[in-house]
Amino acid sequence: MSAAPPLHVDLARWPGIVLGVAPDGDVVASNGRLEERLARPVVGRNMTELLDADSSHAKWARIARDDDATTRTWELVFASDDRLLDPGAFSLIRGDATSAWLVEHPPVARLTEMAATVDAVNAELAGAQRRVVIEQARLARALAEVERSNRALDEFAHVVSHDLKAPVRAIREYAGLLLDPPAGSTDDERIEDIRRIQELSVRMRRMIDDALAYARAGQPGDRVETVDVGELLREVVEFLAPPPDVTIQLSPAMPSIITERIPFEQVIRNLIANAISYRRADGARIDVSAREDGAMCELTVADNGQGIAPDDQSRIWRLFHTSRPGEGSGLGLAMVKRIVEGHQGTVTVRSARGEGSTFVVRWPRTPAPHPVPRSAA
Amino acid sequence: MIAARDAFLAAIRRGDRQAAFRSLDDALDSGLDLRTLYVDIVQPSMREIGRLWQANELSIAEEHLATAITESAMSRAFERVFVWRDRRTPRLIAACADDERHQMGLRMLCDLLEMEGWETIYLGAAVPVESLTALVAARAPDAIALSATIAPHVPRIRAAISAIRASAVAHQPVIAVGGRAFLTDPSLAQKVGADLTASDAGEAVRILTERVRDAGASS
Amino acid sequence: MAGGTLGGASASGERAARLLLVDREALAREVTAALYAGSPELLAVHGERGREKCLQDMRYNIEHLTPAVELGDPAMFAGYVEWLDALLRARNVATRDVVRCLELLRERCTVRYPAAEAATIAGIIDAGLAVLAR
Repeated sequence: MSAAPPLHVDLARWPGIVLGVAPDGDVVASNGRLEERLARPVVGRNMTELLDADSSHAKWARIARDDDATTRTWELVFASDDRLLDPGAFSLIRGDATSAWLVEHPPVARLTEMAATVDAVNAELAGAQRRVVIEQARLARALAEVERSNRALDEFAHVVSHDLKAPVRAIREYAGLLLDPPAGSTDDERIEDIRRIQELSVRMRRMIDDALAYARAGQPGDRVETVDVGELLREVVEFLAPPPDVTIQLSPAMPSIITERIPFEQVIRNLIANAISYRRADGARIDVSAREDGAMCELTVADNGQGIAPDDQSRIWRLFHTSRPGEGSGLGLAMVKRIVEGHQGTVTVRSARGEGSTFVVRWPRTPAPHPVPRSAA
Repeated sequence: MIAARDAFLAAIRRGDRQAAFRSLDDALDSGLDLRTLYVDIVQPSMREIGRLWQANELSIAEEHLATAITESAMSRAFERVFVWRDRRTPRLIAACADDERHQMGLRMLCDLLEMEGWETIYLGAAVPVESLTALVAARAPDAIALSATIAPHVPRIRAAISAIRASAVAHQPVIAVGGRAFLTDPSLAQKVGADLTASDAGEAVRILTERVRDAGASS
Repeated sequence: MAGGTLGGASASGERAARLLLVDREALAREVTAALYAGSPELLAVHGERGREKCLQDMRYNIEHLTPAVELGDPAMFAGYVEWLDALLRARNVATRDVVRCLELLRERCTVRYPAAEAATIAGIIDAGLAVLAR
């Protein structure tokens, strides 16, 4: 290519004074700044013309002597008078009282090499940064899983000690009766007492299992994935295999969300199972719909069943509460509330006796990202 | 969003790191998603920087600096929005045929695919063909993305693709190519043996998702 | 097998590309020397530094020519030349200077290489020249 720019293109734009000086001292190139400063041409002059004192000539002769026959690039840095004594300084230009240091710019090849190294380091850092972001997110979830286990253990212990006191006391009393029977008690009565102990222990076993499930519920730590809400609802309805007298209507357009599939599925299953349990005798109908509302997914399960009296509406969420004692464990809605709230969601009910119930669950569409501080202003 | 793009471009032009970071932070705060950030703000800004250097309105040093700042800004934006999913699928392996710089398009593709639930293995630049084929055999990806900025790097891609196809992989991955070298002539993608190409990261995500889904359905 | 075939690369193109690859340094030096021989004022104006830069640019041109030859893709080289011309014009280098370099490159390839490969290479270079003639 002909007409390559005389100085490396960046030095041409350099704000300081840059000269290209040939081995014999002739100025062969300039970025124009010195001409501006001196108000006269510089290219074609020899450095010795530009330097005034003999001492400067000698200094120049010393540093300019080189076996390398290439043009060298010098930057002139002007200093104030009180730095004249610096050995590297030259006093420049006849009649001009300022002195200037001569700073040699590294050859372009070296600069290019350094630039390539900076690029390589930068690229490595960018790659490492990306890996760190992904790994950090993974670790945050792993940590949440560990914390969940610990918390579940604590909660389980608490629930067990609270709710199992009654059956434990009853067993103790029956055992006491067997060891010290009242006068006149029969063998049949004693066998009955033993049977009662057996029933109580079965009930205790069930309560322990339920308490464990309850304790584990609601804590984050399961696998996060993309969930198609419509597909999930169809699977749940199929699994529940509702009796033929109830119609379950799923609205057509359902969003996809990013969440822990298992707890979300459990919430849906419990709500629909609950609606099936409390359905009206004929013409029973359950409508399920879901929509995106900002950062949340709003899921609605509406039935035309018995409804819930206002007094009961706060009690339905309690563990082991049931409006039909003997049927079911009273676990379903308690689990729903615990799971939903454990995932930063909300669940509410609108209902009136004889007018059916509408349960509304609001569940985050994606888990919250690992918190990152904003860039400094 | 035009305002955000102008702010970002102005910041990287004058080498102002903090202003560049701030403009992307503001864009995220205002509700723009990562895809919009990458496709409508970062990518056009990078192309404009390239054009400015070509037109001699920016020095090579300023262009390098703008590129470096953009890489950093992208990392920060990604960090703010990324959410870990335990089950990430499908899987992509990405490699760049260039030497260190100009990896941004490929990174954008990987970040956006992660946001869609993909698992992406990003190898960066200067990956030897043998390492790439060994990794493909070991990880059995559903798709591979290769990028090149200039024509001299295109033969490397051709060699890599033929090596990948030749190795005994039970499940042939979908191979996509991209980068400036493939922008002007889409038929070049075919010449190197690729399955598809796209002109920007957003389009690439869409096409790859379709192709991999189709490949999965028919297998 | 899904997707693209490895078409587009002819045997002649691959041979020619290999010649360019093996030879690239010598070729770059020859073309630069020919350029400077034809225009002695270049050395006076731009010095040794200028000649080094010219040689570097020539290497770059050959690096971009080679894949276009290998893949039989004249449009690829034409695109490069168009981009390069815009780049240089913005830096006050005239298009005719670019033309001269390409013509010299074409000439040197015709001298150095067997007829078939030289013709293949010349065809690609001509695509670049055609763009500059517009």
